[in-house]
Amino acid sequence: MSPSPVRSPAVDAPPAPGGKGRAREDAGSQRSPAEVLGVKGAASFVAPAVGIVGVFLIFPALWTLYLGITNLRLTGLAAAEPQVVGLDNVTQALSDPSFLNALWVTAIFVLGSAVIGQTVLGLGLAWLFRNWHGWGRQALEVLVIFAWIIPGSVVAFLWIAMLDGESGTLNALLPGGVGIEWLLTYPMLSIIVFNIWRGTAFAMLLFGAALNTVPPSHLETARLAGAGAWRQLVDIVLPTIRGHILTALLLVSLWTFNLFTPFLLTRGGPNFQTEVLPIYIYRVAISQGELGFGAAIGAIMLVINLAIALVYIHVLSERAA
Amino acid sequence: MARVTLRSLTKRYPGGVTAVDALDLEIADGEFFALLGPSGCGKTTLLRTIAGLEAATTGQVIIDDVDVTRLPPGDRDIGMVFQDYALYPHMTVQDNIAYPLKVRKVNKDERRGMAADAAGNLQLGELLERRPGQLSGGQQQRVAVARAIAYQPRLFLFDEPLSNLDAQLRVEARTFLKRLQAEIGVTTVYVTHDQSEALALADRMAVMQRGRVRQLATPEEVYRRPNSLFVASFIGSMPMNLLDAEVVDGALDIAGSRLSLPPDSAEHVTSGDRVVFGSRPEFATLHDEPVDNALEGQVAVAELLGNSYLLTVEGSGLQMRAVAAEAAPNGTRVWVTFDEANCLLYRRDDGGLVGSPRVEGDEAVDADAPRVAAARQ
Repeated sequence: MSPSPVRSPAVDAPPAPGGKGRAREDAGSQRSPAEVLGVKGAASFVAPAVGIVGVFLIFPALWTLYLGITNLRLTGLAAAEPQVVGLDNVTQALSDPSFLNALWVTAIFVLGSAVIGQTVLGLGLAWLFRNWHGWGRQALEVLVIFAWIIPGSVVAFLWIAMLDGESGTLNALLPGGVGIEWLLTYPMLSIIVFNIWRGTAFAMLLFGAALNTVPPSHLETARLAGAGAWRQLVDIVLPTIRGHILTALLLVSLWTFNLFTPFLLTRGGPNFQTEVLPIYIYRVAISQGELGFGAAIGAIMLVINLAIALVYIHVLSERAA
Repeated sequence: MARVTLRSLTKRYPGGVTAVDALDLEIADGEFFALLGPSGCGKTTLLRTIAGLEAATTGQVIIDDVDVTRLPPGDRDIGMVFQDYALYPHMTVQDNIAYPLKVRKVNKDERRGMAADAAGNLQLGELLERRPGQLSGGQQQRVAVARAIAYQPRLFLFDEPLSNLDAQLRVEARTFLKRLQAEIGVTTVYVTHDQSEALALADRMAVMQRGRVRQLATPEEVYRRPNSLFVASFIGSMPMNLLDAEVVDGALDIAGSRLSLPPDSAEHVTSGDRVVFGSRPEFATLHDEPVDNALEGQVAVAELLGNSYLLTVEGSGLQMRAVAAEAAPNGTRVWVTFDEANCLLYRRDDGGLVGSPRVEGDEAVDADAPRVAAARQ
């Protein structure tokens, strides 16, 4: 959570008399780590982390960027001697209906399951349970966190068991024996519900903590003025936890954008209806062996990820100003 | 304007803590009423129950002959100022002040006008476009007050509104609040743990302990004639002298020294009564040679108060405090006399003022605790 909007008390607290001056003195009296250790000493502490990040994060990212400008294939002549083709892969992708379809499907998936689903539902649930305290709340949180820590593949198979046409739990529960093949009839809805179920817990816990940062007296002042629960939520709570909401939106939409697990439910089908970008890349790069083309789309995703992050960070900093 | 009546009001929290215990109280229209007590005495709970932020367990809250016990806070027409001011950081000063008006659907022009009026009253006219984070503590406190008065409620509730200010600003804000309340004349209930604030501000005050009112009187009365040892030890910026004594032949025996009985108390005690003698340091006089009716001791500590000194005198196992115009070197032998008109006697068993009704129940036992603490200081 790098762009954490959790406001530090020092910034937000009303300027207590003499408070600022004291903070400054404290800062002045403490020596920075670099002063204590020396630059070399400090660098040696950071080096292992930098090394790991470099090997597992920066190098693969750069390598993907490089592959994206080649025509590398899994097999054949281009596997042995890939040629640099420049931006051909990108221009090809942008005019490829399959890519545009995947982009569109991903957008709906992110909007439906991340923005509307996890964030809005998570906030709603957190608001609903805001007055729960003690063991009831702890039990709820434990229960909810289970949905989040169970591995995605396990959850996917649980949902297959739920939604299966012949022996699925849902059909068994529904009266009349409708026998709907949910994953085939409503594929997009299925993967959205699956991802909402899986991720809402996180948003709910985050918002639950955020709601605790709203001072009770702020809500009580509104209550004394005659504001109902909805007014309190809109006028007081949402502006107060705006930073938390943006952080949740950022994290959840990036995670959802890069999510591959819908593949386990629908394999991108039927007829590419649920082929989100990661699945599309998998099909192009692994199934069809066009590694260079797949890498180029990976690079495009990277750019989109960056763009999403930049928008959120921009909105966040506007608030600080 | 409003009159507040509480009828055997009780607030019991789940878990069994009784914060307010069968409390009866009448607050007059336009009165500045202070609730004073140590932390945990139930004063804030009482205030919040009047506001409707806490539901009463039993009993009634009546405002102007209307039982509001079950009404939600928004329907009680109450303005409240919290200790942390509760200003909304995402709104300007103007929007903060106008927010209750907005909730009450006053139209935009009108509420801007009303907010500006309230802000003008509190010398905030220049700051309307600022955010709370850009204001000093004193300014924030005034914005909170402006928000409470802007919608002209019939009752003000203050929950320790000055505790977050530094000492100097607190005195200024205190004067300011008292003047403001006198001008607009709205009934005010003011909660504080600071006895000097209650004495300075209130027309009448209640000293609370364990969910009950221990003394209900004007500040003058509470200061001059605290009705129990608890109140006596709690009120006053300097601790009251509280000395164990016994009535012997129409006089007081204090650790072997004789003092004459305070005239007010003489008729209520008989020989052999075990009492506590109480007198404020302000009413004690030091003599440098033996006099009648005095307690002898040596100066142990001298503290400068400003234009006088607070001297701590020790002798015969007693500790006394006296305010004197001049300091005396430590170890000086002195004789302390007390102004008879300002001396009080308390029953040692239940802590009540002699001649007053007995203090009932567990409070009587408790009354011992503060005295012992005060005597051993």
